Amino acid sequence: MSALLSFDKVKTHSHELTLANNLKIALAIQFATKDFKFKINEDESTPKLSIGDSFNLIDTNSILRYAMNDFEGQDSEQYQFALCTLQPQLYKSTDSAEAVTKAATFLQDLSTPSASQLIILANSYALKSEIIKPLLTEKIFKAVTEALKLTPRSSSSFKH
Amino acid sequence: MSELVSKFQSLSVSKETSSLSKEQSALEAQWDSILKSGQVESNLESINLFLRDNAFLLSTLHPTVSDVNVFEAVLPLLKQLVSSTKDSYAKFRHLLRWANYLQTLLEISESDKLVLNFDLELPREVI
Repeated sequence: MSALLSFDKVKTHSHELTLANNLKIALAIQFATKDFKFKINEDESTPKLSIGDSFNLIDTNSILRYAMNDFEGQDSEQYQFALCTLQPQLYKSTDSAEAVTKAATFLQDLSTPSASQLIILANSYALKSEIIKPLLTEKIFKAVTEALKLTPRSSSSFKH
Repeated sequence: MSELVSKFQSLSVSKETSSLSKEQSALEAQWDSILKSGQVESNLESINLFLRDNAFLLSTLHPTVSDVNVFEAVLPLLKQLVSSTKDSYAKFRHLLRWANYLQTLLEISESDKLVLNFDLELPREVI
């Protein structure tokens, strides 16, 4: 199956949201089922997956789930925490250390991660990377490196 | 479970869609994610665009619980938009059509209903 994918290049939202979106897209490429062939659409500035003219996804959580064909665990406490607590924090700068510390407890075994775990991981990494870094496997680290390359640094990360 | 979802599930139309394809499951995950992360308002245009080409949010022939959940969040936003500017009718015409169908199906009370002016002449939509 051939899919057109685009990364998040929107300049008007937070660095954390851009990084989480780009990490989910990079993870979708790394963990996709074997039948997928991805082509990157450089002209699109918002995250999107398109198949033909009629099927589009604009939400990066569902893009990752679709690529992995993993729709399990959406009612779990962990995934609800990722959506209702972590995700809103990507839109505004709040102190997220407590939430990310809790999220890290859901990520203890990432040897064969589920889509829910990868979504929790992407949201948490974008909010407080230092808490999540020690948990990364080689395959996830590759996606993180790719996402960081595609995400402009935030002004707070520049050293004066 | 909200009152509207319970009401929907008591209707025979809620049983019409039994199993979802992979694409429909992805759409279900998408609208749930947008809803629960509080991003419905910023995605109104995307929802309207989706409903331009699809009768319902999971691209099904009949409404599903996803339609009802998103409808519940969208209704107050549409009320505000429609009362503030007539341009909203043209901009969100597909969303308004969908919302009007659902509010009739779910028998929303007159006091809570989205009141639409069906006599307005809208400019032709250029795709």
